[in-house]
Parts: sequence; structure tokens; C-alpha cells
Amino acid sequence: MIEGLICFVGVLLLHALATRLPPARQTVPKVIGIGALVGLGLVAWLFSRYGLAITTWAGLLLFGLLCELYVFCFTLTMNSVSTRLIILLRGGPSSITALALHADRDSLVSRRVDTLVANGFLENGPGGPRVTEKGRRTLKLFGRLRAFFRPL
Amino acid sequence: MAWLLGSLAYLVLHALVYLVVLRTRDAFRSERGVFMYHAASAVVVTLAVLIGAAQASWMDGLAIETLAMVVAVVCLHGIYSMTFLEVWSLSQGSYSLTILRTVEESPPGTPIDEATLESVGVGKRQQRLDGMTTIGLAHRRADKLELTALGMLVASGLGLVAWLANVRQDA
Repeated sequence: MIEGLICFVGVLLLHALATRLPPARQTVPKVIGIGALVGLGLVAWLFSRYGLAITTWAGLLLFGLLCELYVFCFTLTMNSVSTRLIILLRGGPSSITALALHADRDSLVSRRVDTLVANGFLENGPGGPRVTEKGRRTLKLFGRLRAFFRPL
Repeated sequence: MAWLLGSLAYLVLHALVYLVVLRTRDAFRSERGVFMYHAASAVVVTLAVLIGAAQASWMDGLAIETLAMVVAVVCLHGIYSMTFLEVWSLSQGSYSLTILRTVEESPPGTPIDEATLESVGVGKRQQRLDGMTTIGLAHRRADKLELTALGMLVASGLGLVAWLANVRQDA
């Protein structure tokens, strides 16, 4: 289990380095790549040391859970306006007006469109943006999920 | 290993019950309902494995395998629930998805109707600010919001994660 924890810390440090190197804006693919490589190493180590014992599975599951939690948390800081407001409040109390302006700025359509273009879901065209093939596949997938779960 | 395999079987059943039976019930189509379904299960499973570990330790003394069993079962449930809830939340959609759908449904070459889309974003603003006080992360003082101790802990943790992942907190 301690090996799982050590490997997770290794993933954190490697990811912190990788996100500061090009290419930019590939935060999630980078962590998946690093996590997969470190994870494979952990699998090899644990199986060679403990075989199929419960200790092996505990180490792998602990590593998996911590990595998933990390990805969830940083995607939250990237995409959630509420999370960004909470982080902003670390600097001290802030007026409701200032927070509302910050939230509105983060919600700006133009800002979101820029992000969607940067991530390949939209492309700029004459007269306005167009949905790319990647964007269409994404819409189709989410549409299927919505039809399946039918959330309220 | 019996505990781990038993937990795996239980989680498969837990997922099947939701997908086959509960998915169509209104109480389980809401965010709160789905979350409670998983949270309650996680509490029950954690208590069960802790009781099992305590009994094993009482008879044979605390062994590393007992501790590993507890960690494995709890982590397995954690991975299952987090994955399930993340997939479920994708079905709710997001502001970015609304923009994508609007662009896709508009005639080619049409500029985006920013005014209508802006109103969707702004409408959520008060919800976000109220949400922070409702769940105890912040409290109001006159016309200001201030983090509670819990809020500061959460904010510090998320701030550290944002720094590690080099997520820019643009002003």
C-alpha cells in the first residue's frame, strides 16, 4: 500500500512538471499518460513482490483512487466557476458584487467559445464558429448519456 | 480475498439495481438522489469491512493483510462511485455543451446569439454564491462573503491541486 502512495506522489510531481512544459493545454492527456506509465510500473513491482495477495490489490486500488480523485479535483478547478470563486476567497473576504462580476466574467460566452476552439470542439469559420467532428461526437455521446439517465 | 471478491459482486449488483430499476424513478434521477444512493452504500460497506477487520484482529491480532483488506474494499467502492457519479453528471450537460448545441443547431455562418447564452450563465451566478453558504464553505458578513474554516481547508486543497496541475486562475 505504501508503494501505491509513493507512486501517486510520483505522478503528482511528474504531472506538475509536465504541465509546465509544452504542449500547452493538455492537462488531462498528460496525467493519463503519466498515470498509465507509473501504474504499469506499480503493477509489475507489486505482482513481483506480493503475487496475487490482497496487499497487491490494496496498493493498486489505492493508487487508482488517489489518481482519480486528483483528476476530478483539477478538472473541477478548470471548469467549475464555483470552485474558482472559493479559491479566490482564500485571499480574504470579497464583496458579493466583485464575486458576481468574476463569476459573470468566467461565464462569458466569448471566453467559453475561445476555450472550445482551443480544445478542438469548435473551429472559426466565415460568419461565426462551427462545430468540429470532435464537437459533434461529443454532443452525440452526451446526448446518449442524457437519454439513458434522464436526469431531472 | 473473499472480502474483495464479495465487494466486487456487491458493486456489480448495486450498479445493476440502479441501471435496471431505479434509473426511471424520479427520486433517483436527481443529483441528490444518485449521490445519496452511492453515499449510503459507501457508509454501509465501510462499516461492514471495519467490523469484519475488527473481528479478525480480535481473533488473530492486527495483520497487514487485514489492513490491506480494509483499504482495498474502501478504495474499490470509492473508484466505482466516483466513476459512476462522474459519468452521471456528464448526462446533466454543461454551459459549454449548451453553447456547442446552439452553434450546431444554428444555420451555417450565423453568429452566436451571445445575449441569450449570457443570460444562462448569469442566471447561475446567484445559485453559485448561495450554494457556497448553504454547504458551509462561506458565510455572509454584510455585503461580503468570507470563507469558513471548512471553506479555507477546501480552498487550500483545491488551490494546491490547481497549482500542481498548472491551472491558471485568471483574474
